[in-house]
Amino acid sequence: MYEDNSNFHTGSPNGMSNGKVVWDADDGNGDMEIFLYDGQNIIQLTDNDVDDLAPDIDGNLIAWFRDGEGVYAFDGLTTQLVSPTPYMYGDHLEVSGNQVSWIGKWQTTSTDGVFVASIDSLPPNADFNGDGRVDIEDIDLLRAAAGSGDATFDMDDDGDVDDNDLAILVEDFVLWSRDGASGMGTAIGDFNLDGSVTAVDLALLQQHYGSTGGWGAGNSNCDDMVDVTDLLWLKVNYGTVVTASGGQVPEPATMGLLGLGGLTLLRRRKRCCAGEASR
Amino acid sequence: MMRKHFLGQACVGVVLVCLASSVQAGDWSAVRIAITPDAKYLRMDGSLVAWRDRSDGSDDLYVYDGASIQQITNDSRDEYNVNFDDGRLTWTIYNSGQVDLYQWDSVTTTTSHILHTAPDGTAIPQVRMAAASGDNIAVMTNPATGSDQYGIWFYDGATWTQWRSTANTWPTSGSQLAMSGDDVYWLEYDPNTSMPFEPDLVFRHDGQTLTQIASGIGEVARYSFGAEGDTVSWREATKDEFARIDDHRIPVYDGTQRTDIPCTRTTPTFTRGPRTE
Repeated sequence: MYEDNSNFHTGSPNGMSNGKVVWDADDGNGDMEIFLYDGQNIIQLTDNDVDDLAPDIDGNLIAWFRDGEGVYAFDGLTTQLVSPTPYMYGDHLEVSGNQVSWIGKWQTTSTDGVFVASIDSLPPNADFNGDGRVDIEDIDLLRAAAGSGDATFDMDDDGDVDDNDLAILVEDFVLWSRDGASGMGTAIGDFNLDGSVTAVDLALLQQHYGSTGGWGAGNSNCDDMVDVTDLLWLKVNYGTVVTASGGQVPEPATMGLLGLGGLTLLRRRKRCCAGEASR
Repeated sequence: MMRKHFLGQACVGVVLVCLASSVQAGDWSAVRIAITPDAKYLRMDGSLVAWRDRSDGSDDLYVYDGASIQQITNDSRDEYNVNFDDGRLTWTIYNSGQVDLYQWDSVTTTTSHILHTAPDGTAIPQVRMAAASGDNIAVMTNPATGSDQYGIWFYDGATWTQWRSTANTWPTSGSQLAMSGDDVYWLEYDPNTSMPFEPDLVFRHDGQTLTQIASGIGEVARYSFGAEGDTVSWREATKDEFARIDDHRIPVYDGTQRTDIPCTRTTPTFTRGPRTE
Protein backbone atom coordinates (compact mmCIF):
# COMPACT_ATOMS: atom_id res chain seq x y z
CA MET A 1 0.00 0.00 0.00
CA TYR A 2 3.01 2.25 0.23
CA GLU A 3 3.21 4.80 -2.51
CA ASP A 4 6.24 6.20 -4.19
CA ASN A 5 5.81 9.08 -6.57
CA SER A 6 9.49 9.38 -7.32
CA ASN A 7 9.06 8.00 -10.78
CA PHE A 8 6.80 10.85 -11.67
CA HIS A 9 8.08 14.33 -12.15
CA THR A 10 6.62 16.81 -9.74
CA GLY A 11 6.80 19.20 -12.66
CA SER A 12 5.19 16.36 -14.65
CA PRO A 13 6.43 14.83 -17.88
CA ASN A 14 4.00 17.24 -19.43
CA GLY A 15 6.57 19.84 -18.49
CA MET A 16 5.10 23.23 -17.61
CA SER A 17 6.68 26.66 -17.23
CA ASN A 18 5.14 30.11 -17.32
CA GLY A 19 1.94 28.83 -18.88
CA LYS A 20 3.78 26.85 -21.53
CA VAL A 21 3.31 23.10 -21.66
CA VAL A 22 5.38 20.46 -23.44
CA TRP A 23 4.48 16.83 -23.96
CA ASP A 24 5.11 13.86 -26.19
CA ALA A 25 2.45 12.39 -28.44
CA ASP A 26 2.09 10.13 -31.42
CA ASP A 27 2.42 12.12 -34.62
CA GLY A 28 0.19 9.71 -36.51
CA ASN A 29 3.12 7.97 -38.11
CA GLY A 30 3.74 5.52 -35.33
CA ASP A 31 6.39 7.44 -33.44
CA MET A 32 6.34 10.04 -30.71
CA GLU A 33 7.11 13.69 -31.22
CA ILE A 34 7.51 16.69 -28.92
CA PHE A 35 4.79 19.34 -28.80
CA LEU A 36 4.70 22.78 -27.20
CA TYR A 37 1.65 24.79 -26.18
CA ASP A 38 2.76 28.42 -25.87
CA GLY A 39 -0.45 29.67 -24.33
CA GLN A 40 -2.28 29.95 -27.60
CA ASN A 41 -0.78 27.74 -30.28
CA ILE A 42 0.34 24.14 -30.42
CA ILE A 43 3.76 23.82 -31.99
CA GLN A 44 5.32 20.55 -33.05
CA LEU A 45 8.99 20.71 -32.16
CA THR A 46 10.20 17.49 -33.75
CA ASP A 47 9.35 15.60 -36.91
CA ASN A 48 11.20 12.36 -37.55
CA ASP A 49 10.75 8.60 -37.49
CA VAL A 50 12.07 7.86 -34.02
CA ASP A 51 10.53 8.43 -30.62
CA ASP A 52 11.07 11.79 -28.96
CA LEU A 53 10.05 11.43 -25.34
CA ALA A 54 9.64 12.87 -21.86
CA PRO A 55 10.21 16.58 -22.45
CA ASP A 56 10.67 19.15 -19.74
CA ILE A 57 10.68 22.94 -19.94
CA ASP A 58 11.95 25.84 -17.88
CA GLY A 59 11.54 29.30 -19.32
CA ASN A 60 12.28 28.98 -23.00
CA LEU A 61 14.57 25.98 -22.66
CA ILE A 62 13.07 22.62 -23.61
CA ALA A 63 14.85 19.28 -23.57
CA TRP A 64 13.83 15.70 -24.30
CA PHE A 65 15.12 12.23 -25.06
CA ARG A 66 15.41 10.93 -28.56
CA ASP A 67 15.30 7.19 -28.47
CA GLY A 68 18.64 5.69 -29.38
CA GLU A 69 20.33 9.02 -29.94
CA GLY A 70 20.49 11.08 -26.79
CA VAL A 71 19.20 14.30 -25.31
CA TYR A 72 18.15 17.21 -27.48
CA ALA A 73 17.50 20.75 -26.33
CA PHE A 74 15.65 23.65 -27.93
CA ASP A 75 16.74 27.00 -26.52
CA GLY A 76 13.92 28.98 -28.10
CA LEU A 77 15.84 29.43 -31.31
CA THR A 78 17.78 26.32 -32.26
CA THR A 79 17.80 22.63 -31.47
CA GLN A 80 21.00 20.87 -30.58
CA LEU A 81 22.10 17.43 -29.46
CA VAL A 82 23.48 18.06 -25.99
CA SER A 83 24.34 14.60 -24.66
CA PRO A 84 28.01 13.72 -24.92
CA THR A 85 27.43 10.08 -25.73
CA PRO A 86 25.40 9.10 -28.78
CA TYR A 87 22.86 6.30 -28.76
CA MET A 88 22.02 6.85 -25.15
CA TYR A 89 18.71 6.01 -23.59
CA GLY A 90 17.74 7.75 -20.40
CA ASP A 91 15.10 8.78 -17.96
CA HIS A 92 14.29 11.40 -15.37
CA LEU A 93 15.25 14.35 -17.52
CA GLU A 94 14.78 17.76 -15.93
CA VAL A 95 15.41 21.32 -17.10
CA SER A 96 16.29 24.19 -14.79
CA GLY A 97 17.65 27.56 -15.83
CA ASN A 98 20.32 27.01 -18.46
CA GLN A 99 20.88 23.42 -17.40
CA VAL A 100 19.57 19.97 -18.34
CA SER A 101 20.15 16.90 -16.20
CA TRP A 102 19.25 13.30 -16.86
CA ILE A 103 20.10 9.73 -16.07
CA GLY A 104 21.67 7.97 -19.02
CA LYS A 105 21.30 4.24 -19.41
CA TRP A 106 22.73 1.99 -22.04
CA GLN A 107 23.61 -0.98 -19.87
CA THR A 108 27.29 -0.26 -20.04
CA THR A 109 29.53 1.43 -17.56
CA SER A 110 31.00 3.47 -20.35
CA THR A 111 27.74 5.30 -20.87
CA ASP A 112 25.55 4.94 -17.78
CA GLY A 113 25.37 7.61 -15.16
CA VAL A 114 24.10 11.03 -14.17
CA PHE A 115 24.65 13.81 -16.68
CA VAL A 116 24.53 17.58 -16.56
CA ALA A 117 24.56 19.72 -19.70
CA SER A 118 24.55 23.50 -19.65
CA ILE A 119 24.43 26.19 -22.29
CA ASP A 120 26.66 29.22 -21.91
CA SER A 121 24.06 31.68 -23.11
CA LEU A 122 20.39 31.49 -23.89
CA PRO A 123 18.76 33.51 -26.64
CA PRO A 124 17.03 36.63 -25.37
CA ASN A 125 13.53 36.30 -24.07
CA ALA A 126 11.37 37.97 -26.67
CA ASP A 127 8.08 37.56 -24.82
CA PHE A 128 8.41 41.00 -23.25
CA ASN A 129 4.92 41.20 -21.81
CA GLY A 130 5.02 37.64 -20.53
CA ASP A 131 1.77 36.55 -22.09
CA GLY A 132 3.26 33.33 -23.41
CA ARG A 133 3.58 34.37 -27.03
CA VAL A 134 5.75 36.68 -29.09
CA ASP A 135 3.44 38.82 -31.14
CA ILE A 136 2.63 42.35 -32.25
CA GLU A 137 2.43 43.58 -28.69
CA ASP A 138 6.02 42.54 -28.10
CA ILE A 139 7.13 44.15 -31.34
CA ASP A 140 5.56 47.44 -30.34
CA LEU A 141 7.05 47.23 -26.85
CA LEU A 142 10.47 46.97 -28.44
CA ARG A 143 9.71 49.81 -30.82
CA ALA A 144 8.66 51.96 -27.86
CA ALA A 145 11.99 51.23 -26.19
CA ALA A 146 14.01 52.23 -29.24
CA GLY A 147 16.81 54.64 -28.46
CA SER A 148 17.13 53.39 -24.94
CA GLY A 149 19.71 51.07 -23.55
CA ASP A 150 17.09 48.81 -21.97
CA ALA A 151 18.74 45.42 -21.97
CA THR A 152 15.35 43.73 -22.02
CA PHE A 153 14.92 44.70 -25.65
CA ASP A 154 18.57 44.63 -26.70
CA MET A 155 18.30 41.45 -28.74
CA ASP A 156 21.76 41.66 -30.25
CA ASP A 157 23.34 42.71 -26.98
CA ASP A 158 25.11 45.71 -28.47
CA GLY A 159 24.05 48.18 -25.81
CA ASP A 160 21.18 49.88 -27.55
CA VAL A 161 17.69 49.22 -28.85
CA ASP A 162 17.26 49.89 -32.53
CA ASP A 163 16.11 48.51 -35.85
CA ASN A 164 18.63 45.69 -35.62
CA ASP A 165 16.92 44.41 -32.50
CA LEU A 166 13.56 44.75 -34.19
CA ALA A 167 14.80 42.67 -37.11
CA ILE A 168 15.99 39.90 -34.82
CA LEU A 169 12.72 39.90 -32.96
CA VAL A 170 10.64 39.68 -36.11
CA GLU A 171 12.79 37.28 -38.08
CA ASP A 172 13.70 34.86 -35.31
CA PHE A 173 11.11 34.98 -32.57
CA VAL A 174 7.74 36.34 -33.62
CA LEU A 175 5.07 33.72 -33.98
CA TRP A 176 3.17 33.62 -37.24
CA SER A 177 0.12 31.55 -38.05
CA ARG A 178 -1.60 30.86 -41.32
CA ASP A 179 -4.22 28.30 -42.25
CA GLY A 180 -3.63 26.16 -39.19
CA ALA A 181 0.14 26.19 -39.51
CA SER A 182 2.38 28.32 -37.38
CA GLY A 183 6.02 28.99 -36.81
CA MET A 184 8.62 31.31 -35.43
CA GLY A 185 10.18 34.08 -37.42
CA THR A 186 8.73 35.95 -40.34
CA ALA A 187 9.76 38.72 -42.70
CA ILE A 188 9.90 42.45 -42.19
CA GLY A 189 6.69 43.70 -43.73
CA ASP A 190 4.50 40.86 -42.46
CA PHE A 191 2.31 43.23 -40.53
CA ASN A 192 -0.53 40.78 -39.88
CA LEU A 193 1.91 38.01 -38.86
CA ASP A 194 0.50 35.41 -41.20
CA GLY A 195 3.93 34.32 -42.35
CA SER A 196 3.77 36.11 -45.67
CA VAL A 197 4.19 39.57 -47.07
CA THR A 198 1.24 40.17 -49.34
CA ALA A 199 -1.30 42.68 -50.50
CA VAL A 200 -2.95 42.39 -47.11
CA ASP A 201 0.14 43.89 -45.51
CA LEU A 202 0.32 46.53 -48.20
CA ALA A 203 -3.29 47.42 -47.49
CA LEU A 204 -2.52 47.83 -43.81
CA LEU A 205 0.34 50.12 -44.66
CA GLN A 206 -1.73 52.11 -47.15
CA GLN A 207 -4.48 52.57 -44.62
CA HIS A 208 -2.11 54.21 -42.15
CA TYR A 209 0.36 55.80 -44.54
CA GLY A 210 1.43 59.21 -43.31
CA SER A 211 0.15 58.56 -39.82
CA THR A 212 1.75 57.39 -36.65
CA GLY A 213 1.29 53.75 -35.90
CA GLY A 214 2.77 50.49 -34.74
CA TRP A 215 3.66 47.25 -36.43
CA GLY A 216 0.06 46.30 -37.11
CA ALA A 217 -0.40 49.62 -38.88
CA GLY A 218 2.45 48.97 -41.28
CA ASN A 219 5.31 50.50 -39.34
CA SER A 220 8.25 48.21 -40.00
CA ASN A 221 10.92 50.08 -38.07
CA CYS A 222 11.39 51.92 -34.80
CA ASP A 223 10.25 55.38 -35.84
CA ASP A 224 6.75 56.67 -35.23
CA MET A 225 5.58 57.23 -38.77
CA VAL A 226 4.23 54.86 -41.34
CA ASP A 227 6.11 56.23 -44.29
CA VAL A 228 8.12 55.53 -47.37
CA THR A 229 10.77 53.63 -45.44
CA ASP A 230 8.17 51.12 -44.34
CA LEU A 231 6.89 50.83 -47.87
CA LEU A 232 10.34 50.09 -49.15
CA TRP A 233 10.90 47.40 -46.56
CA LEU A 234 7.62 45.85 -47.55
CA LYS A 235 8.66 46.02 -51.17
CA VAL A 236 11.92 44.24 -50.48
CA ASN A 237 10.16 41.32 -48.86
CA TYR A 238 6.95 41.39 -50.85
CA GLY A 239 5.95 37.91 -51.89
CA THR A 240 7.92 36.20 -49.17
CA VAL A 241 6.08 33.22 -47.74
CA VAL A 242 7.46 31.58 -44.64
CA THR A 243 6.83 27.86 -44.71
CA ALA A 244 6.24 25.47 -41.86
CA SER A 245 9.63 23.92 -42.48
CA GLY A 246 11.24 27.27 -42.01
CA GLY A 247 12.06 28.31 -45.53
CA GLN A 248 11.19 31.65 -46.97
CA VAL A 249 9.84 31.44 -50.46
CA PRO A 250 10.06 34.72 -52.34
CA GLU A 251 7.73 35.20 -55.21
CA PRO A 252 9.45 37.82 -57.36
CA ALA A 253 6.66 37.77 -59.92
CA THR A 254 4.49 39.61 -57.48
CA MET A 255 6.97 42.38 -56.99
CA GLY A 256 5.70 44.18 -60.02
CA LEU A 257 2.26 44.42 -58.50
CA LEU A 258 3.71 46.00 -55.41
CA GLY A 259 5.73 48.35 -57.50
CA LEU A 260 2.60 49.63 -59.14
CA GLY A 261 0.72 49.83 -55.86
CA GLY A 262 3.61 51.44 -54.10
CA LEU A 263 4.15 54.06 -56.75
CA THR A 264 0.47 54.89 -56.63
CA LEU A 265 0.73 55.26 -52.92
CA LEU A 266 3.77 57.47 -53.16
CA ARG A 267 2.17 59.68 -55.78
CA ARG A 268 -0.96 60.03 -53.71
CA ARG A 269 1.04 60.93 -50.65
CA LYS A 270 3.16 63.37 -52.60
CA ARG A 271 0.09 65.17 -53.87
CA CYS A 272 -1.29 65.25 -50.39
CA CYS A 273 1.88 66.76 -49.01
CA ALA A 274 2.15 69.26 -51.80
CA GLY A 275 -1.41 70.34 -51.13
CA GLU A 276 -0.73 70.80 -47.47
CA ALA A 277 2.35 72.81 -48.20
CA SER A 278 0.42 75.18 -50.47
CA ARG A 279 -2.05 76.05 -47.82
CA MET B 1 23.33 32.82 -37.84
CA MET B 2 23.96 36.05 -39.55
CA ARG B 3 21.80 37.91 -41.92
CA LYS B 4 22.02 41.29 -43.47
CA HIS B 5 19.29 43.37 -44.86
CA PHE B 6 20.63 45.78 -47.33
CA LEU B 7 18.58 47.80 -49.66
CA GLY B 8 21.34 50.11 -50.70
CA GLN B 9 20.24 53.08 -52.63
CA ALA B 10 16.51 53.07 -52.73
CA CYS B 11 14.25 55.13 -54.90
CA VAL B 12 12.71 58.49 -54.04
CA GLY B 13 15.85 59.53 -52.28
CA VAL B 14 15.38 57.28 -49.29
CA VAL B 15 18.26 55.21 -48.08
CA LEU B 16 17.40 52.34 -45.85
CA VAL B 17 19.91 51.52 -43.24
CA CYS B 18 21.71 48.25 -43.28
CA LEU B 19 20.26 46.00 -40.62
CA ALA B 20 22.61 43.38 -39.34
CA SER B 21 20.81 40.93 -37.16
CA SER B 22 22.43 38.06 -35.40
CA VAL B 23 21.70 35.87 -32.47
CA GLN B 24 24.44 33.37 -31.91
CA ALA B 25 23.42 29.93 -30.77
CA GLY B 26 24.78 29.16 -27.35
CA ASP B 27 27.42 26.51 -26.81
CA TRP B 28 26.47 23.41 -24.87
CA SER B 29 28.81 21.51 -22.64
CA ALA B 30 27.94 18.26 -20.93
CA VAL B 31 29.59 16.13 -18.31
CA ARG B 32 28.86 12.81 -16.68
CA ILE B 33 28.96 13.64 -13.00
CA ALA B 34 28.39 10.11 -11.74
CA ILE B 35 29.33 6.84 -13.38
CA THR B 36 26.68 4.40 -12.24
CA PRO B 37 24.12 2.00 -13.72
CA ASP B 38 21.78 2.34 -10.75
CA ALA B 39 20.90 6.03 -10.61
CA LYS B 40 17.21 6.88 -10.41
CA TYR B 41 14.76 9.58 -9.33
CA LEU B 42 16.75 12.57 -10.57
CA ARG B 43 15.53 15.96 -9.40
CA MET B 44 16.74 19.48 -10.13
CA ASP B 45 16.38 22.61 -8.05
CA GLY B 46 18.13 25.54 -9.61
CA SER B 47 21.58 24.29 -10.50
CA LEU B 48 21.51 21.56 -7.87
CA VAL B 49 20.97 17.99 -9.01
CA ALA B 50 19.79 15.22 -6.70
CA TRP B 51 19.35 11.54 -7.38
CA ARG B 52 19.15 8.15 -5.70
CA ASP B 53 21.87 5.57 -6.20
CA ARG B 54 22.95 2.20 -4.88
CA SER B 55 25.33 2.21 -1.94
CA ASP B 56 26.23 -0.69 0.36
CA GLY B 57 23.17 -2.75 -0.42
CA SER B 58 20.55 0.00 -0.27
CA ASP B 59 19.89 3.23 -2.07
CA ASP B 60 20.98 6.63 -0.79
CA LEU B 61 20.54 10.20 -1.94
CA TYR B 62 23.22 12.35 -3.54
CA VAL B 63 23.40 16.02 -4.51
CA TYR B 64 25.68 17.63 -7.09
CA ASP B 65 26.26 21.36 -6.60
CA GLY B 66 28.14 22.04 -9.81
CA ALA B 67 31.51 21.20 -8.34
CA SER B 68 31.23 18.15 -6.11
CA ILE B 69 28.88 15.37 -5.06
CA GLN B 70 27.62 15.14 -1.52
CA GLN B 71 26.07 11.99 -0.10
CA ILE B 72 22.95 13.09 1.76
CA THR B 73 21.80 9.81 3.30
CA ASN B 74 23.72 6.79 4.44
CA ASP B 75 21.43 4.12 5.83
CA SER B 76 20.17 0.63 5.13
CA ARG B 77 16.83 1.70 3.65
CA ASP B 78 15.73 3.10 0.32
CA GLU B 79 14.48 6.67 -0.06
CA TYR B 80 11.15 7.32 -1.74
CA ASN B 81 8.99 10.28 -2.77
CA VAL B 82 12.02 12.37 -3.59
CA ASN B 83 11.27 16.04 -4.17
CA PHE B 84 13.62 18.97 -4.53
CA ASP B 85 12.12 22.46 -4.43
CA ASP B 86 13.12 25.81 -3.00
CA GLY B 87 16.43 24.50 -1.74
CA ARG B 88 14.93 21.63 0.20
CA LEU B 89 15.25 17.98 -0.63
CA THR B 90 12.50 15.86 0.92
CA TRP B 91 12.03 12.12 0.97
CA THR B 92 10.34 9.33 2.87
CA ILE B 93 11.64 6.07 4.26
CA TYR B 94 9.43 3.08 4.89
CA ASN B 95 10.37 1.83 8.33
CA SER B 96 8.65 -1.14 10.00
CA GLY B 97 5.12 -0.12 9.14
CA GLN B 98 5.75 3.55 9.62
CA VAL B 99 6.88 6.14 7.16
CA ASP B 100 9.47 8.67 8.17
CA LEU B 101 9.66 12.01 6.41
CA TYR B 102 12.99 13.81 6.13
CA GLN B 103 14.29 16.99 4.58
CA TRP B 104 17.74 18.27 3.67
CA ASP B 105 18.34 22.02 3.52
CA SER B 106 20.76 22.98 0.77
CA VAL B 107 21.65 26.27 2.49
CA THR B 108 22.52 24.85 5.88
CA THR B 109 23.36 21.41 4.45
CA THR B 110 21.59 19.84 7.40
CA THR B 111 19.13 16.94 7.48
CA SER B 112 15.99 17.07 9.62
CA HIS B 113 13.57 14.36 10.64
CA ILE B 114 10.14 15.87 10.00
CA LEU B 115 7.63 13.15 10.74
CA HIS B 116 7.45 9.62 12.08
CA THR B 117 3.91 9.05 13.25
CA ALA B 118 0.92 10.54 11.50
CA PRO B 119 0.44 14.28 11.89
CA ASP B 120 -2.40 13.73 14.37
CA GLY B 121 -0.14 11.61 16.55
CA THR B 122 -1.71 8.27 15.75
CA ALA B 123 0.75 5.63 14.93
CA ILE B 124 -0.90 3.64 12.21
CA PRO B 125 -1.84 6.13 9.54
CA GLN B 126 0.96 6.19 7.12
CA VAL B 127 2.37 8.90 5.03
CA ARG B 128 1.54 7.67 1.60
CA MET B 129 3.39 10.40 -0.20
CA ALA B 130 4.79 13.83 0.44
CA ALA B 131 5.50 17.03 -1.43
CA ALA B 132 7.30 20.20 -0.41
CA SER B 133 7.21 23.84 -1.41
CA GLY B 134 8.92 26.71 0.32
CA ASP B 135 8.68 26.10 4.05
CA ASN B 136 5.61 23.95 3.59
CA ILE B 137 5.12 20.23 3.32
CA ALA B 138 1.98 18.33 2.38
CA VAL B 139 1.42 14.67 2.98
CA MET B 140 -1.21 12.23 1.86
CA THR B 141 -2.08 9.66 4.55
CA ASN B 142 -3.73 6.27 4.54
CA PRO B 143 -6.58 5.54 6.98
CA ALA B 144 -5.93 4.70 10.57
CA THR B 145 -6.96 1.31 11.87
CA GLY B 146 -10.71 1.27 12.30
CA SER B 147 -11.05 4.30 10.11
CA ASP B 148 -11.68 4.73 6.45
CA GLN B 149 -10.60 8.33 6.33
CA TYR B 150 -7.85 9.20 3.95
CA GLY B 151 -6.29 12.58 4.48
CA ILE B 152 -4.26 15.50 3.25
CA TRP B 153 -2.14 17.24 5.86
CA PHE B 154 -0.33 20.52 5.57
CA TYR B 155 2.77 21.48 7.53
CA ASP B 156 3.78 25.15 7.61
CA GLY B 157 7.09 24.51 9.29
CA ALA B 158 5.60 24.53 12.78
CA THR B 159 2.20 22.88 12.93
CA TRP B 160 0.22 20.31 11.00
CA THR B 161 -3.30 20.99 9.78
CA GLN B 162 -5.62 18.48 8.18
CA TRP B 163 -7.05 19.83 4.94
CA ARG B 164 -8.89 16.77 3.71
CA SER B 165 -10.50 13.77 5.31
CA THR B 166 -12.55 11.52 3.12
CA ALA B 167 -13.77 7.99 2.81
CA ASN B 168 -13.40 8.14 -0.92
CA THR B 169 -11.25 5.30 -2.02
CA TRP B 170 -8.02 6.81 -3.02
CA PRO B 171 -5.95 5.44 -5.80
CA THR B 172 -3.86 2.55 -4.66
CA SER B 173 -1.54 2.85 -7.58
CA GLY B 174 -2.32 6.22 -9.01
CA SER B 175 -1.90 8.72 -6.23
CA GLN B 176 -0.39 12.04 -7.00
CA LEU B 177 0.32 14.99 -4.80
CA ALA B 178 1.78 18.28 -5.93
CA MET B 179 2.48 21.61 -4.30
CA SER B 180 2.96 25.09 -5.60
CA GLY B 181 3.39 27.84 -3.06
CA ASP B 182 0.70 27.27 -0.44
CA ASP B 183 -1.51 25.35 -2.82
CA VAL B 184 -1.79 21.59 -2.61
CA TYR B 185 -3.16 19.50 -5.47
CA TRP B 186 -4.01 15.82 -5.45
CA LEU B 187 -6.01 13.12 -7.19
CA GLU B 188 -8.81 10.92 -5.91
CA TYR B 189 -11.02 8.23 -7.33
CA ASP B 190 -14.57 9.22 -8.11
CA PRO B 191 -16.69 7.05 -5.77
CA ASN B 192 -19.44 7.09 -8.37
CA THR B 193 -17.21 5.56 -10.99
CA SER B 194 -16.86 1.82 -10.99
CA MET B 195 -13.33 0.63 -10.95
CA PRO B 196 -11.51 3.24 -12.90
CA PHE B 197 -7.95 2.28 -13.47
CA GLU B 198 -6.75 5.81 -13.00
CA PRO B 199 -7.97 8.51 -10.63
CA ASP B 200 -10.39 10.98 -12.12
CA LEU B 201 -10.95 13.72 -9.55
CA VAL B 202 -8.60 16.66 -9.15
CA PHE B 203 -8.63 18.68 -5.93
CA ARG B 204 -6.92 21.82 -4.73
CA HIS B 205 -6.63 23.34 -1.28
CA ASP B 206 -5.21 26.85 -1.11
CA GLY B 207 -5.07 27.07 2.64
CA GLN B 208 -8.56 28.48 2.87
CA THR B 209 -10.77 26.61 0.48
CA LEU B 210 -11.07 23.07 -0.80
CA THR B 211 -11.93 23.07 -4.49
CA GLN B 212 -12.73 20.18 -6.73
CA ILE B 213 -11.13 21.30 -9.95
CA ALA B 214 -12.20 18.47 -12.19
CA SER B 215 -14.68 15.65 -11.93
CA GLY B 216 -16.19 13.05 -14.15
CA ILE B 217 -13.33 13.41 -16.52
CA GLY B 218 -12.82 9.73 -17.07
CA GLU B 219 -9.25 9.02 -16.27
CA VAL B 220 -6.35 11.13 -15.21
CA ALA B 221 -2.96 9.96 -16.22
CA ARG B 222 -1.12 10.26 -12.97
CA TYR B 223 2.29 10.48 -14.56
CA SER B 224 1.35 13.78 -16.10
CA PHE B 225 0.20 15.64 -13.03
CA GLY B 226 2.03 18.76 -11.99
CA ALA B 227 1.65 22.26 -10.58
CA GLU B 228 3.50 25.52 -10.99
CA GLY B 229 2.55 28.99 -9.87
CA ASP B 230 -1.23 29.11 -9.78
CA THR B 231 -1.50 26.53 -12.50
CA VAL B 232 -2.05 22.80 -12.43
CA SER B 233 -2.09 20.53 -15.43
CA TRP B 234 -2.69 16.88 -16.05
CA ARG B 235 -3.38 14.49 -18.86
CA GLU B 236 -6.82 12.99 -19.18
CA ALA B 237 -8.99 10.81 -21.36
CA THR B 238 -12.14 8.82 -21.01
CA LYS B 239 -11.75 5.12 -20.43
CA ASP B 240 -12.50 4.42 -24.08
CA GLU B 241 -10.11 7.08 -25.20
CA PHE B 242 -7.33 6.10 -22.91
CA ALA B 243 -5.74 3.55 -25.20
CA ARG B 244 -5.72 6.05 -28.00
CA ILE B 245 -3.11 8.55 -27.10
CA ASP B 246 -4.24 10.86 -29.85
CA ASP B 247 -7.51 11.42 -28.00
CA HIS B 248 -5.89 12.58 -24.82
CA ARG B 249 -6.21 16.12 -23.54
CA ILE B 250 -3.96 18.21 -21.33
CA PRO B 251 -6.14 20.54 -19.26
CA VAL B 252 -4.34 23.57 -17.89
CA TYR B 253 -6.22 25.19 -15.00
CA ASP B 254 -4.92 28.58 -13.86
CA GLY B 255 -7.20 28.95 -10.87
CA THR B 256 -10.07 30.49 -12.78
CA GLN B 257 -10.01 29.15 -16.29
CA ARG B 258 -9.46 25.74 -17.75
CA THR B 259 -7.87 25.35 -21.17
CA ASP B 260 -7.80 21.93 -22.81
CA ILE B 261 -4.85 21.23 -25.06
CA PRO B 262 -5.62 18.42 -27.48
CA CYS B 263 -3.07 15.70 -28.04
CA THR B 264 -4.25 14.87 -31.50
CA ARG B 265 -2.41 13.67 -34.52
CA THR B 266 -4.04 16.46 -36.45
CA THR B 267 -2.16 18.95 -34.40
CA PRO B 268 -0.97 21.69 -36.72
CA THR B 269 2.69 21.64 -37.18
CA PHE B 270 5.58 23.95 -37.52
CA THR B 271 8.53 24.77 -37.18
CA ARG B 272 11.64 26.43 -38.30
CA GLY B 273 14.14 26.58 -35.49
CA PRO B 274 13.80 23.29 -33.73
CA ARG B 275 12.73 21.13 -36.61
CA THR B 276 15.02 18.13 -36.69
CA GLU B 277 14.33 15.44 -39.20
